[in-house]
Amino acid sequence: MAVVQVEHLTKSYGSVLALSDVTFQVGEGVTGLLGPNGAGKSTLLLCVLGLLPGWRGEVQVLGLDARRKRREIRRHVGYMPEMDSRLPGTTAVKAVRYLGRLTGLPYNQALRRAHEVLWHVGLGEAVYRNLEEFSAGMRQRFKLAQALVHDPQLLFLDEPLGGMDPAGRDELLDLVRDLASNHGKHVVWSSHILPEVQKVADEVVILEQGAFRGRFALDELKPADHRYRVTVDGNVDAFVRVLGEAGIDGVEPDPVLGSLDLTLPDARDTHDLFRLARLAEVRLRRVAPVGEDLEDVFHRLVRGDREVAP
Amino acid sequence: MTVHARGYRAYTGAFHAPPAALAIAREAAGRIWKSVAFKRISVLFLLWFAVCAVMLYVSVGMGQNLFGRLARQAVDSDQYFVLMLNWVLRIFYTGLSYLTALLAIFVGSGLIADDLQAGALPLYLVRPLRAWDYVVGKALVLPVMLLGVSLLPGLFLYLITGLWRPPGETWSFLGAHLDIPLRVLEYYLVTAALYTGLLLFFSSRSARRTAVAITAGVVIFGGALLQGIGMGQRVRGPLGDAMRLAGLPHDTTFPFIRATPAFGRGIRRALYPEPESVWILAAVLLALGLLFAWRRARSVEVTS
Repeated sequence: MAVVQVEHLTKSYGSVLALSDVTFQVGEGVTGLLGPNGAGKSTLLLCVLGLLPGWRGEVQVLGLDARRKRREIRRHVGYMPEMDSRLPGTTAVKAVRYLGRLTGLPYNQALRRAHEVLWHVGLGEAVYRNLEEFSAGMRQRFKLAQALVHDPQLLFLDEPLGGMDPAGRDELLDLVRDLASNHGKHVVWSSHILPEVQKVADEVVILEQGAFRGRFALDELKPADHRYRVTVDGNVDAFVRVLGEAGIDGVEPDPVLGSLDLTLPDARDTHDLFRLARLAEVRLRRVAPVGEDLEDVFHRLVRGDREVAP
Repeated sequence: MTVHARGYRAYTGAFHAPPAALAIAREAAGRIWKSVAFKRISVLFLLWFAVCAVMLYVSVGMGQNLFGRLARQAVDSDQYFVLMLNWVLRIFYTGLSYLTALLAIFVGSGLIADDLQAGALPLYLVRPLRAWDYVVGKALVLPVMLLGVSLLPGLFLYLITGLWRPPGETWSFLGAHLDIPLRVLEYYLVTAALYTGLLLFFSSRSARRTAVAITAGVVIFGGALLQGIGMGQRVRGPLGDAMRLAGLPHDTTFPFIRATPAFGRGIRRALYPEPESVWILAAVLLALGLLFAWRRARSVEVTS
């Protein structure tokens, strides 16, 4: 099911084209919206949420038309803005309770939920502290709490780890992964930092200069065809011969790197490679799966070498 | 078991949205109500009200006897009470108009500017509410605060004057002079509309509360200065009309100036703006304020 469906979305700020005819779908689970700074990620989220006027195209969120059913959509989505956002002159629990009330929670339920989500994001000790006293990391957590207060189906998180320390980052990544895996939340995680997206996302959508560059599942990056790169120390020809006798074909030596690319049959694993190396009297210095990582794909798509099918 | 240890819990309760505008107004008014600055301004209001209440008591009580003795004739008690009440109300609201301007600047300058500075607009607008809900909520704050400091004290003075009438005359007195609470209401409505419009306009133009407060202060008190010059120099023609209308604090007192008979050399009513022009000014400022606040609340483009 498409959680978000964007078709021919175009948005300009005056003469600057921020999004140009963007078309893609966001599926269930966690989707990383990836792109360099200024790629149009935040603009895209704001258009999808109906927070920016003057965009063209068609957008559906949870099957609802983003232009006509804006208020209904907002009841089912949570948004964590990139910018520093807080309510002035109030405590964390009052702010979250108030925002919960505005989303339609009755007073007592809003108060209960405010405590629950603040505890859940790790602000349990700071619920009665004024938001002005919060550190950058605490503000990020507050923004996540206010996005969760009404228990939305879909979360839009814009650069959610900005300003957080490494421990806090890991904690928040785990928390979002848990929300998606165990509580059925769909998440759009917008970021320009590849490793964090790789840790949390199921699929990735890449934007660059306001244009859609590609969409792929992170599973696709894993070496599905059992292909490995082996760096050999010793007589490479002897090792290739032994491999052939053992029924391992498709060996491609790389004389520059001094390595071999090969495909292991289903019945064999990497331990067999070490056993065969002993037979050929060579040593294996490195055995690594062959496949693109997210960074390779990102750079390839951003450079525009090749399109990945949407 | 702590709340945290339970992990994330889904919300299974009902959704029952209160009117968003009222919730927004309540939150903003509650925040202002708790501020130290508002409490200090409230003390000024209370003192001024106490002074005027004592003045009224002295006027309608001791003053009646003294005036009767001086005039060596019986005084029409009902007329005298109305005369004194109108006189005290005029003094009360003339002084109050400047205090109200101060309160309006304090309350109104941060209405939208504070949200802009804190980046709160996306947090509001991503909720299931319309930009108008946000604007109306913010626009209700000043009228709510003015209820307690402007409408209720005037009504209280009117009621207390009725209670000071001889036994059995209270209700007939109050019923016969319903024009007085209507004037108090007229003052309240004009003041609320003028200052709400003006402050919403400025507050939606800047993310800095201090800049908004200074600009509004210059417009309000600078306008009062212009009005004084216009009235003192008796400037005629459209320029004179504009100058007379520029002093918002004084403009708001027109219901009481109109109702108070001339004392001594008399009040040169011709030098004051016409009630209609004050109403038009209030309506225009309110419309402008709402429009600009709505334009700001319609999009987070500027703040993001």
